[in-house]
Amino acid sequence: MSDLVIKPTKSTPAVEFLAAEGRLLIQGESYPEHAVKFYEPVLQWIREYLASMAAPLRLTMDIVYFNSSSSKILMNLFDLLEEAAAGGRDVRVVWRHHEENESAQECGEEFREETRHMRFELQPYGDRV
Amino acid sequence: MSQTCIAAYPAVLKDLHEFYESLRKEGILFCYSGPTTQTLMESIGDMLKQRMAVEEAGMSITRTIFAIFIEQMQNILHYSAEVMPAAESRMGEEMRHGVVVVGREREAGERFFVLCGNYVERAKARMLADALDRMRGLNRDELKALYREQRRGDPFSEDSKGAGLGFLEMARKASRPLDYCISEITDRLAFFSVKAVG
Repeated sequence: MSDLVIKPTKSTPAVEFLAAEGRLLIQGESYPEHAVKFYEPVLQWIREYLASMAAPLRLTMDIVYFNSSSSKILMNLFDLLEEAAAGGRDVRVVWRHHEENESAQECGEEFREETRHMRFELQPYGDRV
Repeated sequence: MSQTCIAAYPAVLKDLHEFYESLRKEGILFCYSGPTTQTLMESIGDMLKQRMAVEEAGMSITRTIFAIFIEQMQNILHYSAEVMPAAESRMGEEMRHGVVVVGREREAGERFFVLCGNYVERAKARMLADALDRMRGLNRDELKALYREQRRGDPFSEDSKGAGLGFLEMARKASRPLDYCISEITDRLAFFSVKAVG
């Protein structure tokens, strides 16, 4: 299975999904005009990964800001992972946020409240040196 | 006051000094009126951040106002009934029209606000007003519950651009309930505006 790499733009995050390592990263800001269009290949890749690989999956989210339509589709993404975790897959989400970005922290907490089976942890960080 | 003018200005700007002073008096930081695109919105978003830095606004309120601004602008981008079809637009894409005003209240607290307006179908305006009326009666926890419920809706459904959730997002970020105004303009159209205070 091939990797999925999407370069960031002002309103879309960087996406780096490495199939061999089961490591996924979504990083940046997310407020595209058409969130569904942007995230469709992302969700598709995850579906294929879950169907064809048995290895653990670790997703790191480092999203500074996302708009309401991105929020909706990210919910779909977490549902997908949650379903896999409920079926016994080893799924872990790390939600990174700046320690002073309360909004990003709350968003992470609210997604975590929606999940039960997968590990979902918040990881605050300070200023990058 | 003596005035010397050699100018053919549009009527609304007859006295630019008066216009300038009234913007200042009302605490208007900037406004944009006309066709919008995603790219244009991103540029205005940059200006918004810079303008708030000049106002010495903190990171937290800047993030709040930016988020409200994006939801407001994307409502115009997706739902304004005043549309320039892609074929006629020199940008090569469809452009919807509206107006956005960012300001700072003059009352105590000097809160930042984003006011946005555009034409919509009258039926749609009533629908939006009903939704906003319902939201006005909800407390923080109820808004959160409704947000979570609506977020679970199918993003691939017909109204896939996320209508409703945007207003909820604004209502949750705002420090008080969203104000709105509807002016019925023609049999078909109304001018609909929403003010969100950060």
